Amino acid sequence: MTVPAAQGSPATENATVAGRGSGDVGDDQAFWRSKTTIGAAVYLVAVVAVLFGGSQFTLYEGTLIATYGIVTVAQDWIFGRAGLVSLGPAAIMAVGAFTTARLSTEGWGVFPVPLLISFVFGGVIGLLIGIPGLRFRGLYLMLTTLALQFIISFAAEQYQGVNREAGFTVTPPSWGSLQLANPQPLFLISVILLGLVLLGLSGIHGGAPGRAWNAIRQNETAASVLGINLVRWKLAAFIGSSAVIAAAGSVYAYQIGQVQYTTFSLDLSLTLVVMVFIGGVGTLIGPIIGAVGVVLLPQGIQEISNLFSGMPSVSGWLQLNEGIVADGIYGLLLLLLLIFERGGLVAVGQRLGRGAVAAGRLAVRASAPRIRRTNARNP
Amino acid sequence: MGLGILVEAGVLLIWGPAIIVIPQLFSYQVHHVVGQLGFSNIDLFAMAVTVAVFAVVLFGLHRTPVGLRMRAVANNPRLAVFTGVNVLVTSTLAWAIAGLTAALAGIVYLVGTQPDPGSIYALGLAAFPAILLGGFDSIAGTLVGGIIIGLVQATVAVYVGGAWQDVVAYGVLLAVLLLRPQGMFGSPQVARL
Repeated sequence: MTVPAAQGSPATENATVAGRGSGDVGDDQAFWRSKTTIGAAVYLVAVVAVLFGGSQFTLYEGTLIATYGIVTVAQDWIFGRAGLVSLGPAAIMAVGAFTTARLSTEGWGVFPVPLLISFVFGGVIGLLIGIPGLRFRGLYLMLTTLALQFIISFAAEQYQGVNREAGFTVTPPSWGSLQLANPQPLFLISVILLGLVLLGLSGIHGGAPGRAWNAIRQNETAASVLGINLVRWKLAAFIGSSAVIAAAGSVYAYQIGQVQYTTFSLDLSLTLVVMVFIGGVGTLIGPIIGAVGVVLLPQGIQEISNLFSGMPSVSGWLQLNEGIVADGIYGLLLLLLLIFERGGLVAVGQRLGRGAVAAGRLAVRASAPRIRRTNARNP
Repeated sequence: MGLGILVEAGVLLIWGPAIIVIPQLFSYQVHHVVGQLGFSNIDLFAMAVTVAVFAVVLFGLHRTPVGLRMRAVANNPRLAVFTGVNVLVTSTLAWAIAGLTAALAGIVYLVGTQPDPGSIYALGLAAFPAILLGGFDSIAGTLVGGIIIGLVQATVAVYVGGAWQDVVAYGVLLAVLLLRPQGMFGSPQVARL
């Protein structure tokens, strides 16, 4: 038999499965090899690379990806983990953004304050959505959140109309002479926030709350029979994810500088939901991959149209219709994923990975020297 | 939703985002007056199509074998399979009919206004308040719900301001969900969907 024995001692296996195991020899190994640690390391490397090596444009895109990433991870929280459909992320972002824009002009609106207040307001909105949302699931919940998206959007429109027609300008945050809205500091802020959210979520999703939400998602009735307090956990999911999304909205406001109700439309909400789905629901990397994909796709189309620079009609058409082509690709990708691979790009990647590993194994076996069987009777 | 996005992208690519002006099939003028209400030919056309579609759908659902199968699948898919209904074919047919009626709705809407391909899907979403108001499993309820929502929207547009139109529809949606989830004519078990 050439199959190697299971990696590490049984104690290590248990420690990895159960989270932080206590005091066994293999424990350190489990920690360094755990997905969280590896992920954190990769994250740090990527952040440092972009922070010091990236152009202004890269930094801008990176900040955008991080901001959207925060929202999509929160969406995954409420939909991928707790199973509660919510079509209103853009509206909640709007709450954070408008709060920030309004507060940034106040004297006491020094940097983290508007962000923190947005976080709190987001939580309040989450509570407001959650209370009627407790009653419904599936389609009805989706419609409730859809209605709220429109209503909040409309409220923002009215607020803007009354107070400032052209939209609110965000006073750039600064600490003394350090301009926080510059590409580098802002990028740093957004990735720190994303990092905190990721760490926090990976912790709670791996623990009791995550299991509670998982149970609720799969079968509410069974979950409540098992003693899981539906009200408490559903509300927790609503409040938490909304608070996080509003905080992202706050960072978004700092980035784009000008807050208008038109930005936070149903379109944006749907795009955010699509990001989560394309990347992979139920994972933490999935939503981020989705955010990366959606933000960078227009760039990709640009690149492709450059490839076609020999055929000006094609490249010209591609450039003109860039936005629409991007939309079309999302729609197509969404459909394909719905039909073939519900797990999103993460699952596709896993499948390819397994295929590669299997192919590798086959290759190794095929290339191993044939072992001559000697006849036991005639050596 | 993916299909919606794809189709919208396709339409935009083929016909371009500019507003297309279609020849005026019916006149906007108010020709027929009934008491205090005035109707133009366009309104009559819209009403005629609506009534026709509803008549066909109601008849189809309740008086034909195909309709019976559809209702069976909606009511209890597993049992329907045991009874020999081809769920795949029936569901597909239902989707096709939904698409057809939606297209018809689009056409009727278009005859009255100029089409703007980028924002029409918002019109489709406005169907939900009507459906919920009428009751999820009642076709007649949908008709009544649609009429009520339309009237409410028009009233709001006149007395409060055009911008409030869409919000009001969603406000009604919320109210229905909170106060009477099964709508006016829906059956109560639908509420816990």
